[in-house]
Order: sequence, then C-alpha cells, then structure tokens
Amino acid sequence: MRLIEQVARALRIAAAVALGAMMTVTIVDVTMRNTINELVLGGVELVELALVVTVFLALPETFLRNEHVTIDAIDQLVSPRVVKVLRCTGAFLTLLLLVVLAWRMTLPALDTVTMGDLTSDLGIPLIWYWLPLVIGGIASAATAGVVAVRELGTGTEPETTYVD
Amino acid sequence: MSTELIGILSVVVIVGLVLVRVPVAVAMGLVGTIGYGLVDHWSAALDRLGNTPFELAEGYSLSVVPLFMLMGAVASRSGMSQDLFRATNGLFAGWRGTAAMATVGACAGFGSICGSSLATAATMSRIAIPEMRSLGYDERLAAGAVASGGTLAILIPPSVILIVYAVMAQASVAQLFAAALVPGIVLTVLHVAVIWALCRWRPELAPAAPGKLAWPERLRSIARMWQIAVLFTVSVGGIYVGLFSPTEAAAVGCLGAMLMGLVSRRIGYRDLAASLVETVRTTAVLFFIVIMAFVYAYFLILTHLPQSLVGFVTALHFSPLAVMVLLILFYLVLGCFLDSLGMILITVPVFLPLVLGLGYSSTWFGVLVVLVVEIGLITPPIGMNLFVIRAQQPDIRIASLYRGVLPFLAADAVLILLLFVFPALALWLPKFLFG
Repeated sequence: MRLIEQVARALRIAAAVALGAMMTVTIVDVTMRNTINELVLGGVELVELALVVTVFLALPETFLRNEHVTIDAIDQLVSPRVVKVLRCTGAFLTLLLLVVLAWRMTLPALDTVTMGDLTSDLGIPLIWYWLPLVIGGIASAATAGVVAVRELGTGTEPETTYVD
Repeated sequence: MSTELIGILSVVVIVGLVLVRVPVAVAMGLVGTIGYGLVDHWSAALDRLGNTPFELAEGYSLSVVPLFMLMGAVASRSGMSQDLFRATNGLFAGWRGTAAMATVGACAGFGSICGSSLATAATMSRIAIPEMRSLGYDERLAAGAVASGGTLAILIPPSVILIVYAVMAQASVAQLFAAALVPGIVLTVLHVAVIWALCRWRPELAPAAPGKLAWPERLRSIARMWQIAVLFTVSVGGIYVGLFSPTEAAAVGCLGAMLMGLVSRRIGYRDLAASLVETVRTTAVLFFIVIMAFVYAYFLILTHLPQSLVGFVTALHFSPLAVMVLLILFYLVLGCFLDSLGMILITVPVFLPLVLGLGYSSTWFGVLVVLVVEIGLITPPIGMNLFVIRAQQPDIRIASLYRGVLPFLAADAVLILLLFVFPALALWLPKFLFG
C-alpha cells in the first residue's frame, strides 16, 4: 500500500516538473519569436510531450485520493448500506475500465517500438509519448485496485476537485 | 435494435450511472466502449479505447488548460483575491449591500484570471462570507452572492469550460474568449443590479450603507486590483490583439503571476511547488474526463444519432427559436443532475449539428450553452457551487443556500433573453477583432 502511494507521489512530482517545463518552453518560444524572430525547434512537440506527462503521470494519485468527479446527491436518499454498495460498484467499474485501458494502450505502444516512428521536427521516438500513457495507465489501474479493496473495507470520502 | 436507439439509450445509461455514484469519466468511457462494440466490433471498440489517449500527444491546443489553471492557482496563493475584494468594496462603497456587490465584482475579477467556477466560489466564500456575516448580512444574500458570483468565472475568459467546448466543437478558443467577454460583463452588472434591487425591496437583508468614499480614496482602493488587471490585459488581451496564441498567453500569464507573487514576497517557492501540484492533479482529473468523452463521442458518431436528431427535429417543422427554447429547457433540467463539464461533453456532439443546421453559429451557441450550464452549478439538487460553499461554511443551512441563489437566476434569464434578441452581444467583439 505504502509503495503504491510513494510511486503515485513520485509520478505526480514528475508531472509537476513537466508542467513547469511546458510553461518554460512556451515562454522561451514567445520571447525568441518577439525578439530575434526565431522559434524553439520542435517547441510544439516538446509541449505536447510535456502535456502527456503532466496528465498521465498525475492520474494515479487522483484515483488514490478519490478525486474524480462523482455526483453523490443520492447519499441523502438511500441508506448508508446502499451508499457503500454504490461506492464499491463505482470503484470496481473504475478498476475495470483502467485495467482494459492500460492493456489496450500497451499494444499500440509496442507497435510504435517495432515501427520505429519518430516525430517530424526533433525526431523523438514516438515511444517516449506512449511511455507516460502506459506507465500512468498501469499505475492508475494499480491505485484504482487499492481504492476498490479499500471501499470493500471502510471506504473513504471523496475530495473536492475544482474543474468546472 | 437500431444504432440510433442504442445512441439514445447510451445517454440514459450514462446519466443513470452518474446518478448512482459512478465517476463521470468512467461512465462515459465504459458506455462509449461497450456501445462501440455493440454497433461495430469489440476489437475495434477496444482499439479505439486504447488509441484515444494518444490524441493528447497531438493536442498542442489543449496545453492552454493546465497553464491557465496554474495562473489561477498562483494568483490565489498570492492573495490577489483578498485585494480584489477590498478594491471592489471601495468601488461600491456608499450603497446598501456594498459587500455583496463587492463579492460579485471580486468573483468576476477573479474569474478573469481563473477559469474555474468552483475554484472562484471556494476562494471567495472563504473571504467574503465571513466578512458579510460579521457585518450583519442575511446569510441567504451572502451565500447567494458568492454562489452566483462564482458562476461568472466560467463565462468570463479565460474559461476552462469554454476551452473544452472549443475542443468538442472544433471552434476557435480566441473567438470564444472574445464572444464571452461582453456577456460576462453584462451578467456581472445584472448580478449587481439584483443585489441592489433586493436591498431596496428588503432592506433587512443588508446593513445600512457605509459612508461614501471620496473619489481619491475610491480610486486608491480600485488601484489595488492592478495585479489582476495587468495579468488579464497581458494574457487575455494578448490573445485579442493577436500577440499570443491562447497557450502562449496562458504561459505568459503564469510567469507574470509567479513574478508578481515572488517580487511582492506574498508567495515563496514552496507555494509555487504547491500550485504546480494542485494544478497537475486538477488537470489529470479534467483531461481523463475529456479523453473518455472523446471515446464516447466516437461511439456517438457511429450511431448517427446527431444526424438522426437533426432529421427528426426538421420533420417537426418547429421554428429555430422553438427548438432553441426546448434545448435550453433540456439543459436546465439536465443541469439539476449533471455537472457542467459532463453536460458539455455529453451534449455538444449531439446538439451542435442540430444548432448549426438551424442557422446559429457555433461561437454564439458556445456562449449560450456555457451560460445555461452555469445555471446548473447553482440549481438543486446538484449545484456544485452550493456544495463548495457548504463545505467551507457548514453552519449555513442548505435551504438558505437554495433560497439565496434564486433571485440571481433572474439575471441569467435576462442574459439568455438578451442573447436571443441581440446576438451581437456575443458576436460583435469576435467579428471586430478577428473579422
């Protein structure tokens, strides 16, 4: 359990670094364009790579912390036992989706290695774009598994996440 | 079973799953994949699920979302929201209901650098509600001003919901930001007018007006907003004048917020790190929903449901206005049960072809739909802004919250009406700026 928490935290730190890098590359790009009329070579590719890392490496911890948008208005209308059943059902459906997602992302990622595809500007192997997806997907499935087991026991309250 | 019927059932199943506590993203991902398998082949459905996240790797335009959220997070930690509240208090000084009006003004101002309604409501409820209660404001007015004021943030650019709409509708973020600005300002004025009218009608809702400020003092107070004014002018203004792309504007805004916070010593490097962490978690949650919405949208395209809906409505020979009224009513009902992001992601792929077929522009519809879904943030039983306020101020009765936001719904209704009567309200600025 603690190992998964530590892995999720380490991935989240990598995601935060990637977000900082995304900001930095964009600012350097804007500055160069407006001063010496040049662009960062492959700036768009770097920002896209940073976006993939930001999203997918932060994902495992969001499952661990039950941060995904869930409508809990039904809690006021049914008994606590029914709420517990619904929470378990939601947790296991999440686990099911993430396991299938991780499995089906691995296949095209392996294809990319076989084909040796590269990006057009910097020649970055596409597997570097797939790796965060696969690592984040597998880690998310693992954290969703922890949450599902936890829901079978005592359960936890979801946290508020501001996305709207 | 026809593919169209499977499409209709999928909407019902998603809403049902969401209402029994299945996360919105999971509901859309599962229903999209299973529906795709039923309509096409299971292997194709699983391939679609596995390949869709990679679209993020080609989504440069989506990078604007985390960067604008980071700007909002840094600005919030820098205490700019408190400055705003003090400044708008000075602006409205001398009127009964000053603090409530100031709350609405501060929400609109904070919304101009933070694209999230819930973050704005959470931030302002911590600052404004205790202040209003200590001054003797009725808790219904205090809570209503914060809850409805928070909704201004998803209309006033930059807005995360508008960006998500732009992605779903393949519309220009810059044009949508321009289109939403004037309606956002009008709605802010309408909310202030609601407070003014309430205080005239029921003076006991707010304490007697504090003394008027002299103009020099008033201007000094307003000047406290300079940081937010600079950030908005440089970032969103930079988009309007064509200096930056939305992503570049967001990055420059982030840097500006960080420098202002660090130079004024209101934040340190720990705060920056905390802002980055807060942003990546929110981004991950948001993008997971968007990716699963793409999975669901691919399935919807297979069902031909949007085209069938267009054909069905055309065959009814309703006027475009009647169809739009029905759509608004549908959104208002759906807003009672779904969150705003889920509503946009589920409905836009279905309804947009219909709306375009009726002769409305996707930019105008974007503003209208964001306005309608924001009403869902303050209507029971699922009014997310109300839940946020309740979480921060648990001693406010939920009935007070619901009653407090009711008068503000009139302002939203007036703006919807204005958008129909004067579409130029939304379309003038994008036409002026981008031709």
